[in-house]
Amino acid sequence: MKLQRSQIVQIISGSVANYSSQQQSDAISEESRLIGAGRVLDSIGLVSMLVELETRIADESNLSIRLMDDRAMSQSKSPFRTVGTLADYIDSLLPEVTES
Amino acid sequence: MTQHSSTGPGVMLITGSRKGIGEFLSRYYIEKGWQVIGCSRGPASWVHPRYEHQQLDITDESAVISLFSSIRRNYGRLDAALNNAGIASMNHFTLTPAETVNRIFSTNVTGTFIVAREAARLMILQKSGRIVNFSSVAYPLNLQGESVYAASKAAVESLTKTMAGELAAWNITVNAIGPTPIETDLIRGVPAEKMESLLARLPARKAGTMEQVSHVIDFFLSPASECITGQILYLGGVG
Repeated sequence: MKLQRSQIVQIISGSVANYSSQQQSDAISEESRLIGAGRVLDSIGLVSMLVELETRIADESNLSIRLMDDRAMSQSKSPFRTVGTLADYIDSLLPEVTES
Repeated sequence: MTQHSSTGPGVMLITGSRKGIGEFLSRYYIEKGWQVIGCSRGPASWVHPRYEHQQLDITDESAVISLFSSIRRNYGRLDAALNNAGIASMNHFTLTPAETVNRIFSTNVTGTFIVAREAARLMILQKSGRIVNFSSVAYPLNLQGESVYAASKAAVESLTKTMAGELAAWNITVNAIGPTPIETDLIRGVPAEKMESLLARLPARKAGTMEQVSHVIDFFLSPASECITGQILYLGGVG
């Protein structure tokens, strides 16, 4: 069953909170920045969060996705800007993925 | 799920485990209490209650990703990955087809990269792990007739050092061993006089043994080696 966008936001927020100085997931919003000025994660935290996020999505949906591919890198606006843009990006990937 | 202690045996992946050094290392670490997951392009040639074999080609990215998914599901962690699988081809470089270059780099470099990457992703989640890559004295000796193989091992060494830096924040070490020739399928086709001249270039002046390889890997896996990373350790006295 496809994950709903609200579920994706929840999963991202949980993973971000695990590696952010803002430890509570309810302190993470869709506007929380993941890269650039005002980001809530350092570079090590961002890598950890993305690895954990892919794993959690695989567990929740039985689907295998890789967020960092040529498609993500080629977008003029990075999908990794905020929790919300990342949720949009994952939502766009899920219908195309294959069973893990 | 296999229990793990920070000082005792845990879960280990060994590529190219069907025969040769890979089989030796698999049996050696099983004997020491590790759960070993092995893989090779061919089916398992031996069995053991603490050995799981997966038939796959390490250059097949999706197959390797599936392998690591199953390791995570079945064991919940990965404590060590030995990137042993590799191929060689001996020929004067003027007589070597580009297809041979692609084939050797695909297994030795791309395969090593994919396995290390997937191992590191599991290890990042647990914030610990040991990755051991396989180089060869063929690279530092600039071994004639092994230009492509040596170049592929140069790439493995470069990857090893960069990966070590990128993974240090998660307490993951990445090192490489550079064995001397050991009697395996990899060197079975090398003419005797060629082997003699190679051994004469080694300070130790003799072929290596599988026990020397496991000795070096024991050192890399030791809890006391937590700050030893990005290192290449050659056998045979090669520096």
